[in-house]
Amino acid sequence: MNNFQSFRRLLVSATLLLACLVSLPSYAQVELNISGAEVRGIPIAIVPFKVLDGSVLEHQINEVVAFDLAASGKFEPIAAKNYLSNPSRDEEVQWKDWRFIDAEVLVIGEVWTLGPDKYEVQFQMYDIAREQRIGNGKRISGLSMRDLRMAAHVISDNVYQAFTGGAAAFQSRMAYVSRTEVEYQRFRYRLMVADWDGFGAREVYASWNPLLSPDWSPDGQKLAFVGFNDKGSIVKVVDLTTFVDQTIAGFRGVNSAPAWSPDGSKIAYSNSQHGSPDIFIYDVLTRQHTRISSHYGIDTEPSWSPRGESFLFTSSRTGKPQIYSYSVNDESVSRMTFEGDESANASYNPDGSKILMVHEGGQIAVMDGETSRLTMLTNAKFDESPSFSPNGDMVLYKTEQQYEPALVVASADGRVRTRLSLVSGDVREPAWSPLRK
Amino acid sequence: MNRKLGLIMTVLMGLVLTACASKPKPVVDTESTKPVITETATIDRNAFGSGYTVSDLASKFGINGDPLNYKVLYFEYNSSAIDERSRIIATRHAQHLGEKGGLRVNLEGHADERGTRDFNLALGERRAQTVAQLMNAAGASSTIETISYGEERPVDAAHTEAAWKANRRVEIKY
Repeated sequence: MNNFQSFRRLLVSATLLLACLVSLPSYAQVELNISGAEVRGIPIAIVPFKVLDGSVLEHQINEVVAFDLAASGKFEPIAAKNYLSNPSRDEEVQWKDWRFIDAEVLVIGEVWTLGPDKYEVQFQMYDIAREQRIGNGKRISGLSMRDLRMAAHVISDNVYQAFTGGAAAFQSRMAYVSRTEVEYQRFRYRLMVADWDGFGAREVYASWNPLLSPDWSPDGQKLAFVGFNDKGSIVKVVDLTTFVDQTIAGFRGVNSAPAWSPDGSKIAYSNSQHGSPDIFIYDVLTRQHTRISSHYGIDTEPSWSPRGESFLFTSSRTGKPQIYSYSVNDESVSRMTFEGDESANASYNPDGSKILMVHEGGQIAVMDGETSRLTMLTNAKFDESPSFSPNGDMVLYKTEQQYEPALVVASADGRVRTRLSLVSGDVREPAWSPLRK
Repeated sequence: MNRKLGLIMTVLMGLVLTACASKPKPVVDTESTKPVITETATIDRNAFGSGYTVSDLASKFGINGDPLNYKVLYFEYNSSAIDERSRIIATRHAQHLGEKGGLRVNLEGHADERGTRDFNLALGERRAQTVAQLMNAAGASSTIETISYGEERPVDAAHTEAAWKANRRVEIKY
């Protein structure tokens, strides 16, 4: 039974993989790519949380936690229907029930209703192999119904940290642009902010002209982005608390591709007031603009290193777009990418060891900083706008399946891809936020 | 560097050709008292200042009649180089604007969807600027503004070679 079940799971995964290979468009939420067959996530059971007064919750905490952990690629949730028991308290946990379904980690919990729209969530984590409870359990209180999803993300963060030892990012958010055709060929562009999984999206800025390139301030309080006035593209900043927006670069020509420095004091961007697009740096405090590059080729898409001593940028100085790095200290430029015809829109992971980019115009790739080895994260033609999760373990990007745009999160090793189906419609330009501060 | 040289050459060629265009050579045989009536006399080898005959314009570049009627110039992938068809059309507009004088012209640069959005914004701008330089050099004597929409405003949203070709463009608006 046990072996049969895991065999069946493998079979299902293999079929899924085959389905992906045969026809690229796949609407499965989680695509398991078991090419590196022995590498897999930790099997985890997350029991449906017991709601003590029996009230119906809008969101099932165990489902949100399972979605979070599966997307990271480091866990493999076991479907709740396979559980032999549904404990919600420590004394109800039977180790054999979980060993039987090959779970290595168990999460249980309860939701308490303390008053009208007032909830408390408690949870416990277990290491099944060691037959050990991890920590003393936690209590998240003062929650309204709409906070319950965030409580679930807090649980995911706790599980992730406890069993991987790494920083977790499930309380982070993302920004994206949504486009709606209001009437024939008349589009409304909306800059949206949502939880990392796409839930709870709300508009922070809107325009009848295209919006693109959102970039988070390091404190997560503001978004820089590109909009248009009647003279062309401009760089704007919107405050996510007050929704007040300001134009920071509206010079002649193209103003685009804003990138906050890690300390939040500068915004690098591209502008073509001197003819060809060059990199400029805007000083947030003094409001001074300094021209950094002056090459004849196109220089755009700056993106800072984690410590801010250099930035990557895209340049066509050798003909086709490739990634270069500019050192702030000695003002030197070095070429970073040599593979393939085109590489663009690069960014570092949080520890600076990897560079994420769009390769050959529509494929997401990751380059190892030391070996310069390039790994394809996707093999599509129209994937774009990739960004790392703030812990570097996942990559958010936009894809398109038969003219249907979608936002997808891939584990950084490319093994697991999760479509964010909470975000739908004509969506583009996703950008993962820094961690909440 | 090579591209810069190429650009200068293109602009120079434009200049030379417009210079020719402004002084059409009369076909007169000064030696003979007889008026020379030949077939070639009726064929304008420099139709609309293009350096081509009307039939060559049509057969080689798909330009039927006055190039002034064409306002969209097309480009190769990832390139802002101006091809002969675009040069003919842009030069003709420049002449026309030069004669009118003082008009405001908008050049709208666009890219196809391949490549990143920010790079395509830059590419659209570069295309528009290249056309602006040619038109200025060809005597447009107008205020030429460039604006780039990158890949944001395609004329055809399909993922096909034909759509991409149609989307890589500069639109001359005045």
